[in-house]
Amino acid sequence: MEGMDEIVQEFLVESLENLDQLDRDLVALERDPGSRELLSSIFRTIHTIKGTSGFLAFNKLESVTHVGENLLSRLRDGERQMTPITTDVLLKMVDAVRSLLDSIENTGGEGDLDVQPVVEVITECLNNPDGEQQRVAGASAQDIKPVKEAKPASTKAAKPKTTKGAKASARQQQRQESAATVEPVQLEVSAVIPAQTTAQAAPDKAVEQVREEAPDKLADKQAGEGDQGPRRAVADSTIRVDVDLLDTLMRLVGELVLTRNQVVSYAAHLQDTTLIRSTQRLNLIASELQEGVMKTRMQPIDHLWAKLPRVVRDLAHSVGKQIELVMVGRDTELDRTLLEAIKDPLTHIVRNSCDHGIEAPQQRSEAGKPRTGTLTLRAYHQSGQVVIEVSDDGGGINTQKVSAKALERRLITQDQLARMSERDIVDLVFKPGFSTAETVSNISGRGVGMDVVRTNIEAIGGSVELDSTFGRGTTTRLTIPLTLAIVPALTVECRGERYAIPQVSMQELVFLDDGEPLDEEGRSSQEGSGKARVEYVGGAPVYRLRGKLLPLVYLDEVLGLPQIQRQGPAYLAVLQADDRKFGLVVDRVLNTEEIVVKSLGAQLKNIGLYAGATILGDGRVALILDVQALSRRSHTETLERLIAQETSAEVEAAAGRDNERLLVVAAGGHRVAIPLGMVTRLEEFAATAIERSGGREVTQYRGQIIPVMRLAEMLGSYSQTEADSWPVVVYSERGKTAAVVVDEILDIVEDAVRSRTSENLGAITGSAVIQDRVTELLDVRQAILAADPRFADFSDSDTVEGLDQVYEHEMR
Amino acid sequence: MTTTQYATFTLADQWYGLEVERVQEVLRAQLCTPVPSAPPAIAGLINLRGQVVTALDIRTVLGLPERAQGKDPMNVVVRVKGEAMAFLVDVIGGVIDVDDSSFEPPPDTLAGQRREFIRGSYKLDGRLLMALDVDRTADAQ
Repeated sequence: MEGMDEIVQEFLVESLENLDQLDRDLVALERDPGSRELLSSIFRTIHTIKGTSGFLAFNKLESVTHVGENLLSRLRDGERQMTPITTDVLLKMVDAVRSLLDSIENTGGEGDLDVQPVVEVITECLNNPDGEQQRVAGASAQDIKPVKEAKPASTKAAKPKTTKGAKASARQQQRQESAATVEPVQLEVSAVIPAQTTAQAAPDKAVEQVREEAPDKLADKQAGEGDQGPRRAVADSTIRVDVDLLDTLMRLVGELVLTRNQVVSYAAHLQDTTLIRSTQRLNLIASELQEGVMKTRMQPIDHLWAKLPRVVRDLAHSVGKQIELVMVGRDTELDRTLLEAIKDPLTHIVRNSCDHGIEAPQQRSEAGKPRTGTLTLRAYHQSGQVVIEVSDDGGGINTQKVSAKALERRLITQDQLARMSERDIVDLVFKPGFSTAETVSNISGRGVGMDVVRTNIEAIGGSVELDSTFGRGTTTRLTIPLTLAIVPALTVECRGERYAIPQVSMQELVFLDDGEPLDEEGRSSQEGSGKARVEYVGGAPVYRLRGKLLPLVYLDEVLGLPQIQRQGPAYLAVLQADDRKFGLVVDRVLNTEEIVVKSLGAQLKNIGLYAGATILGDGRVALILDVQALSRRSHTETLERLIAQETSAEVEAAAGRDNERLLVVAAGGHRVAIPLGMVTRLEEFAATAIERSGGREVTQYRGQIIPVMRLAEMLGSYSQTEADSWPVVVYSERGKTAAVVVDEILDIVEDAVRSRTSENLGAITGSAVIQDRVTELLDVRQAILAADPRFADFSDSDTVEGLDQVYEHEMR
Repeated sequence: MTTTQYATFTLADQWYGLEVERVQEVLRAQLCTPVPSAPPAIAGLINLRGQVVTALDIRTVLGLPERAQGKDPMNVVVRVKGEAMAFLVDVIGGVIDVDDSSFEPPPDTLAGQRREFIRGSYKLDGRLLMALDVDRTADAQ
């Protein structure tokens, strides 16, 4: 069964289910011979099996169902009446079909079953419209044997019952026959696998029960009998479950998770070890249950993709293009609800690619590309999210046309345009109003309804990115959360109330020494104090995060709370929405917890600040912030432009001051300085946590296995110390992380470089005098690449460029 | 003579009621999480056995003066379009049967804003019971 084609599997599950229904329908039909509804239902089932078996080249199955269908169509059209004999014949046909299905299920083929006798019986019945009882009855009596032969490993249990097909069904009612009477049958049945054939031929539904009860005994028996282990029948290994039931389960698990959080937070205050141990178990079990239930809702993305080849083909055909569709990662799973939600946006993007992206064959060959365009769909998991990429090798987005269009539509001003990067311009296609019906034909780029795509994807907590190279193609990247119902979140406090921020959009947390922003003049007075502080650019608050200006949003302000004098320390949550980063200023950061997202009533949804609400560990309700909406509402976009404007001047000034912060570490007798901008995090790893795998050192970090490098060895020396734990510099780039072990973290210095030399020894880019000592300057990324060239795979050139820029400016 | 059952409560010493079949339950004052930027009538969100329920202050809806400090409101949880919603009121009264024939349109003395949310009134033993329009109230901004 393992190797069985998925289509065949589905066919079996569906057909077996339908057959059970068919049995009931046929019996009901006998009692109510005139029912067109029943006849149609039976006809449809047989017709479906016939069609599919023809398609799958199960010829015997096809021939049986074909004659059966003929008989049924006469009945349906009223050409003949239903008689007990007809019912008999039809039930026989159903039995034969079932035998064939069993054989397919167990051996993958129809086997050497002989269906000819059954076909003959049916044909005979067909040719005797008056239902000459004698002859048909006689024939059917003769036919018992062949039918039996048609079953593999026919059994004693089956033997006397076949003729009683009709009666057998009548007895279905008597399901609750005592287990005692079932017992003997059970043993016999268990002696024969496939059991289903037998079960079918056997007298009544009591056998059905056997199938449910038998597994243990079956297993025993089988184990004794040898190598052919029991297989779970297709119909038994999957069940159809009502989605509503799953939703209910999911909700209940959500409640359980909440209750668990409450118990855990309560138990944390107590000294009771028994309780603490129990809560730990509860914690584990609840997590596993949550995972399990979540899995039941997971479906491969192929469900969605399956219809795309047709869409692409039709579209390509209608516009005279040649497009090849490539799909990678079909079995990537995500939540059913999400699958449903991305259906339209995804189809839209694919249509866009075919329609506007990939060029006509003629145009392609002129551009030196193969005449057939390629559209690639790729799906994969990345750090708890699902990424779906739609890439084409078409014409790409013509930024000139896009900007011209945006100007014409007055979405941006000439002034703004001058300051926009290529990427910003590409992003204009997401602007509402950029695309209207008229622009579809006269703009060669994309953007038809892309704002709707973005809105829909963001509504489910995902994001859309667009990468395009003019002339080379476009990639649209959808990042979707795995599930909607339970998300990890950070709880923060603002004016005494708690809010949850989905971790997905969290980048990092920064402590602000002083929450009170300095006024514009105040900036110079505190120059060089080394305090993390808020500055103003063009009247808007910003924060200098590792040399880059980050627009700030005060949570209380954006929530519309009355203004108060800010004082004391505050925290900055660096958030990412769309492609934009901004800092959200909150009073306090509390903790991270798994929260269950509850939707809000319509009145609150319309406010456009909250993505939902949740119940925290102590039972209080907290609002979940809608990061995307916050970003939009706070006009970080405009702010960014202002910043970009100021930054050019800033950067020059900063370059003169050369005040990038450096992390100074010791490793193998060297003093090494690393630009803080290249340090994602500082950690301490236990020596035992560093393991060996494939000749390299690795460690487990936040659910990932990451490479570990020792800085001392990179510098060609050895660590002089043996320690239980090591300080580690963690470097991340596009979801890839590496750890660099150092001997000691010495200091973080600012503006302390007196003189430096430039030499290029790979990762060491020079040396400088820092705090009166000669210190080597390290490019962490180069060092990691030198030790592990594979680290560069998948990493995005943008990020690297960004880092290099910081670094260059730092080195000047 | 047909009668209707009303769950009654008071707001600023006035007597109000709503159809008893709309009421899911009545709760004491609950911890209420305020929702910044929400319409003024929305008092916040309460946790009703793991369900997040929007609480609406009926005083605000009807344009009555604010509840005095230290006086905790009661929650009347009603079903609106299949969802639970909490109405904050001052004091809960009993459930009474009112004679449909004593129903009258809202009294003329009722000010404009309030009129919108009152379906009418019942004259009972010299007292006036004002029938709240649950659906309109729930939609109040």
